[in-house]
Amino acid sequence: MTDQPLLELVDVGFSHERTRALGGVSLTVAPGEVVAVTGPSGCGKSTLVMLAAGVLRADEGQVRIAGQDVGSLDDAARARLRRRRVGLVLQYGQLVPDLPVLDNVALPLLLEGVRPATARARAAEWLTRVGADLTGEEWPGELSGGQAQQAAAARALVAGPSVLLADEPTASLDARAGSALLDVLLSSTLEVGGAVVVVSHDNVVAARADREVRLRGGRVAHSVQLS
Amino acid sequence: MVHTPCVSLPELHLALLVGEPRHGYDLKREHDAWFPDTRPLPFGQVYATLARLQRDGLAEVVGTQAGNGPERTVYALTAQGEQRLRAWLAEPAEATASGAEEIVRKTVAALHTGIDVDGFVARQRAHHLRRIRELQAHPPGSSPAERLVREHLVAHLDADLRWLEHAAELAPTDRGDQS
Repeated sequence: MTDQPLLELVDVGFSHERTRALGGVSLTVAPGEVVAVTGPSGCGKSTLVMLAAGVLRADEGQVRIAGQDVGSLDDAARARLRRRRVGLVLQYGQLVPDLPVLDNVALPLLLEGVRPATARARAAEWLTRVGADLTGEEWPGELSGGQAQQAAAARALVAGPSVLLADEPTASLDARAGSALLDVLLSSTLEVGGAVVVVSHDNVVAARADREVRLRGGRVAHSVQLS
Repeated sequence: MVHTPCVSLPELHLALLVGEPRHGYDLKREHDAWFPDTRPLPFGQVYATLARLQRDGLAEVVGTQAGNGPERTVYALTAQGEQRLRAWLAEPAEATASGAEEIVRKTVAALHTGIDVDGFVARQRAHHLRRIRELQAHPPGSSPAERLVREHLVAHLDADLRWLEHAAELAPTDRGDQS
């Protein structure tokens, strides 16, 4: 474990066309840390995740993943950095609709050139670890919201990310299944020295974090240590 | 820690004196307006509390007001009283199911007086989240009854937090560009 932050947002701003979604947001996440990002609807939580993942480019400020300035990379390099260092779980799973579930989960490994049989075997292991009752042969359109979230979690974890970004990762699951999935997301990332940023409007999920960063109107309203 | 229902009554009186001196009747009326769905404050309690606040140097008599009946004594907050009020608001309410009333009192007092509302909400939120975190870290015993008691407490804390979010939305904003 090093002292270098795994994720840094420095004075980041972003606008969706003419609507300012985030402004002056700074956030540093160290290895082994779990940060909950909370706040009312429309406060910029999901935008922050997309910026932190390098999916969106910040209009202002800098985003660094494992020390690399995301803004200085071209699209291909950003995608590579994302595949290798970032696990992303979004609210509705966002699986690729024309791939079976197993290939969806295996995708980060397949794109990195891992042999298909190996990638699929690891994907199947992760589906089991996240508690998904799936064979992997299903199509995304056949899954319930909760199953899609479990599959997305498996996909996010399959490559052993340094930074796990999870946007409402348990919203479609009941309390017990959600808690179990959160256990896997946190423990699997932390045991490889990674860090987790979890966006949630659920206070019980937020309470699992070491620190809460609360957004309001696209800005950090407060940041408090919980552990 | 178990809260008695009126443990914070002196501090609430101090909050009611912020901004302008008041006589007892005025203060009672204002209190009942702040908490419209709770038991009205008995006059006897108001005068007894004001006397204690005066004795302790937290409030002072600044005059009398003539009305239809007898003259009314007007009280004002002292610097020491304001200090005591701020100290009360700086301390989060206990994160227990029975602490809910105290949270309501503190939040309403913070909103009416405008004393560090954001800071109060942030501290109270952190206090509650830490308590939920503690409860999650120490699973209850295996019996369903123990689990139910734990879930009841977590649900209460969660309800407090959700209610506090509304308070945060009502707080005066001075945060620059919010668009």
